[in-house]
Amino acid sequence: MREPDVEIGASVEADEVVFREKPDVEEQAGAAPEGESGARTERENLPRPAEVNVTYRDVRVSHRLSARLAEPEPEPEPDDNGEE
Amino acid sequence: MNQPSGGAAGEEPDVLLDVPVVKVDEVEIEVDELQAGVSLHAAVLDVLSLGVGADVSLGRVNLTLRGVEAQALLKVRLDNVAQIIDRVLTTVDANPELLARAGDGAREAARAVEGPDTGRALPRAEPARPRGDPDAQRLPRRPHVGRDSGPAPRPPEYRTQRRRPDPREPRDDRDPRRERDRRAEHDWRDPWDHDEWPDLRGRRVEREPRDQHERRDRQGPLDEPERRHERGHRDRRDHWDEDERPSLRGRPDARERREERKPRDEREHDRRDRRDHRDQEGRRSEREPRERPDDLAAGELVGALTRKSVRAGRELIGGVLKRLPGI
Repeated sequence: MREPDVEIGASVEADEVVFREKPDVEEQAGAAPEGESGARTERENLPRPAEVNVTYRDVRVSHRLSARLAEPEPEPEPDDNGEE
Repeated sequence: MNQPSGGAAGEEPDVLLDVPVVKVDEVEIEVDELQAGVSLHAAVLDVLSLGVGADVSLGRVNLTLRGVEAQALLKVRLDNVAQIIDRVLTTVDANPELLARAGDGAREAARAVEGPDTGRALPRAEPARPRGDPDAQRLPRRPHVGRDSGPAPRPPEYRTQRRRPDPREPRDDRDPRRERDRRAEHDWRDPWDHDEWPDLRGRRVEREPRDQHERRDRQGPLDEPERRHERGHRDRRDHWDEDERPSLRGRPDARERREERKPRDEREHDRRDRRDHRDQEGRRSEREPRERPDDLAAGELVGALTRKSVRAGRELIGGVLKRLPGI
């Protein structure tokens, strides 16, 4: 499968994580005029949703956001007479 | 540690931002409205416009981390975009009329942005005229700014349209912007037009005849006694005037003192040289064309200022102003 045209990835490991407030995070990805996007998150020892003022230990989070244009249609091959 | 997925192995991206490891013992993060993103945009006229991107927005984040180790990765690949652009250019190459349509689209877009009057404001290309057409020889309406004096002024009927409005007459509802444009053009052609400068009306005076002017110049101002042949009086080419330097009054000037110190035969030689010089000047003035009155007045003013004779300069400035057209 073809690779994304644009992608952002981040990975974090922490011995302890404490959320002081409920996080407000948005993300978006896309392609125009035609394309597709996707996001993938891997979490370890961090429930969804996370609780405020709770200490989470040995946390691992990996996130990837990507988008790509629609694949161009293959060019038509000329026939034997040289006509498309 | 988990690695952010970087796509299929074996192909390097065109843009790569790699933050391999960041280690922090303890960090408190408090973020308010942080946005991060990457986008790729490509356009070919208005035939093609494509974009692809990813954005992350952190509205409010407040957390504490201890024993942190982080990585970040940004990848952009241009192969697909380049392939699309190549196909578009191939299509345009095979169908050049697409560019004309693209130009029409751009013009329509500009008209939509500028408003309905844009078409009138934009200069339009005029159709080419045949060589024999007399209009093809017509000068441009507005010549370039510079020393070129441009075409002749407009005929008199143009000026009659610029008279001061009579309050008893109905108001002229012409477009004021067009009036400003015409005024600018008119100022450029004739900056001393009396209709534009009504307060100068009636100040034009007849030029003084040349012989009368020269006579007055030789005699000097009427209220100044003739001192040309008095001992100690400075010639017009002298740099000091006794009116400004009273200490010099009555004292022979340096040139006269130098002349007195010279031997007699040398003084005779100098006298002959000066006489020959005056004769040459007279013959040259007969050969050369007569200078115009304006040049003469300007020369007189320069001479008066060189002499630093304030009173004579004031008189000559008045004479010069009288000679300027339109005053």
